[in-house]
Amino acid sequence: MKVRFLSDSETSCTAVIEGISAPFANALRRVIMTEIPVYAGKDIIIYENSGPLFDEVIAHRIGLVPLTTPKDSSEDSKSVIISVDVAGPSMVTSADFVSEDPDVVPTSDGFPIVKLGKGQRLKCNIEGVVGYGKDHTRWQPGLASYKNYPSIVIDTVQCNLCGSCIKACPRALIQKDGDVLTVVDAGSCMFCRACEEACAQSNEKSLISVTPLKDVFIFMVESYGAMPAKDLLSTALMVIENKARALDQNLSGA
Amino acid sequence: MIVPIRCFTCGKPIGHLYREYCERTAEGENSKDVLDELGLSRYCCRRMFLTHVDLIDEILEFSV
Ligand code: SF4
Ligand code: SF4
Ligand SMILES: [Zn+2]
Repeated sequence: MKVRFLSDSETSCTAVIEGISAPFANALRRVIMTEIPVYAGKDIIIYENSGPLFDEVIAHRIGLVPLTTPKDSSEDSKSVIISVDVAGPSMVTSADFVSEDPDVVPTSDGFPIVKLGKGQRLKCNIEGVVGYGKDHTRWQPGLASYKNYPSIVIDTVQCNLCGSCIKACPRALIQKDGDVLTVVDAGSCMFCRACEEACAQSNEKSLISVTPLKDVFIFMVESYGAMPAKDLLSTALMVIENKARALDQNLSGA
Repeated sequence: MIVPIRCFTCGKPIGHLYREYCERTAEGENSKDVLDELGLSRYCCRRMFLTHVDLIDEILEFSV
């Protein structure tokens, strides 16, 4: 198994992973989106809301604001109270959230909750609770996706350098380098096979073939701010490991 | 009404980017460039801003 990171930042990372199967890549993808424990507002107690939006709408908006989550939080982690008290005229944003735990705060100060007019007021308490994306989207910590890595093979012996494939590729991945064709940045190939078609039209048969490699994947993770993108990957693997362990223990006890 | 906190389709938090989007497009910048720079690469997130009508100021005088 081999892993090579193409990009890695706080909010997103892309890795080429060799030697895994599609079912495993898919398990990882689903766990990242649905089973990573993160904080989000669950119960909202509204003491006063004289602004233009209904209580339910405000509660819904507050719930969707992503909160930072300390490492190794679990469903047993204690809930965090975040209080909001704003008098209009002003825009209530996530910057007005006062959290009792400095590690559980909105990922950005700029989320607009509601705009208040003169004399209007919003006062509420938010109970931040650890939960899972499978129960509600407010606990979804990010997005993960994958695709097969392509193998683009050109028959260099028969290729007459007509250039049709170069013109046909919408992502300009095929380039002429002296008297050979080279493929640059194969990872962004989208398997449209326009190159194969163009070659088959200019020649008797296609001298270029694009096939998805069955055990090499480009895996993309995007974090919504609860934790760095790479941590989503490692946490997801830990979740899978714990599930397998729990099953193993039950097997030996049965 | 008021800009959604997250994209309806993919769940990406977008609400905190709307103000910058409005300010920059009002100054005459191309929407495409602003959306690209804000990191809204999927078209589900892009349509959230492109099609949003901000009506919160119209209903501000009504309280619940
Ligand atoms: S399959 Fe499409 S994207 Fe990939 S190399 Fe051929 S023309 Fe380019
Ligand atoms: S279209 Fe076929 S023959 Fe022409 S340059 Fe490409 S691979 Fe070679
Ligand atoms: Zn989206």
